Amino acid sequence: MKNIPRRLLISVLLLMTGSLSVATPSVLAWGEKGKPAESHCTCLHNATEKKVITTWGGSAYITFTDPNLSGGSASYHRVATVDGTTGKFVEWGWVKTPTGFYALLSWNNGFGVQNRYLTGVSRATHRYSHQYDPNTGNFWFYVDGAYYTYQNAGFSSGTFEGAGGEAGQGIESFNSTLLYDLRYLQNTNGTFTFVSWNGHVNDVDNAPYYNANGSDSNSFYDKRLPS
Amino acid sequence: MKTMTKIKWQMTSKVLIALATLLVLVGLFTLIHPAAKASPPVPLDQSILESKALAIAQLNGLQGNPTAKKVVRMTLGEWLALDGGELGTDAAQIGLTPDLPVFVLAIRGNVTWRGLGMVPSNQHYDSITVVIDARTGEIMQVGAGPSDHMPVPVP
Repeated sequence: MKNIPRRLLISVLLLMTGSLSVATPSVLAWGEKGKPAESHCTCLHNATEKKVITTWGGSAYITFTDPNLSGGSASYHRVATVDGTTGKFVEWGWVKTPTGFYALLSWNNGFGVQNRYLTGVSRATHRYSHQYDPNTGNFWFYVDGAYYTYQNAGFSSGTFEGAGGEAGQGIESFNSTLLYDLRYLQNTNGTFTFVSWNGHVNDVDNAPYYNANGSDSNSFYDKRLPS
Repeated sequence: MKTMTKIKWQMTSKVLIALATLLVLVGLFTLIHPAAKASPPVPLDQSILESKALAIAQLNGLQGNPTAKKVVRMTLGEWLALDGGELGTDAAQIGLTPDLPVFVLAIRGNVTWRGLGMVPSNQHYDSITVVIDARTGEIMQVGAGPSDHMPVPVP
């Protein structure tokens, strides 16, 4: 009987500790810096498809497959409008890093490369779209039709539309992320229209990453050979 | 005497039970009620923010230490305006508003780009700029380029 108050006090303290505990801040971790045996370098690895055409934007559904980073830095899946003559580009999709999941806007306006991370987009399949706006000279970026940001990227139309995965170090999984209903933005005398394109024309394949055909002529999976 | 001790213990027990019930209710309220969770995060101090931003710069390709650096606090809207961007009309749906406080660390140094994007492997630059949420330290932007085109110039 004498022990009851002491036990109660301990229980109360434990409850207080539990209810007042807060999440610890996320810790940045970049994984191993060693060169993976199957990678050609500890650097970016791409597996992308392309449509060579004058394009003013792009769009695709991209599934979220929660790839294993295997101690690496990023698994990134996106659609891109690229000016192959100047190297300028805009890209829009999602990325998983050791610190979380983000919509990612990457661009090069001729003065370096930028990565903008947007939190708050759910870990699910979404349509990622971007399009050039001739009135403002900027690219506009959408997820499922919701307009999140614009950016001046120093160019208007690209020479090709690209899509696919990128790994930060070459050890991360792509986990069969599916890109489907790929479209590029056509400009016919000022009228802009999204048009389907064949996503099966290879652009870059940095082993061990590659793309595999999807269920139709306009979809593909981002994959990685087993290590 | 024994009766007095017994009464004392009984009273102490009752007080502690009441206290425990109250604390359990407060704990449950904190866990369940969304408004109780909505209190703004405690702002991080300058040294923690700078340390987080520097770590992000190094992860994205800064080699060694900065040769020069500049720290600026501003709002997200101000940062985007400097960088040629702006939030879209639906950005608030994902928690992004122009008045969100950001911490910018602009660095001159030797950069071998390790971030993302269709750039040639091991692209070299002489500056890198990191933008993080000033309330949480979460990454918002990182970019590298020639130091004469930095959004926040570093003397």
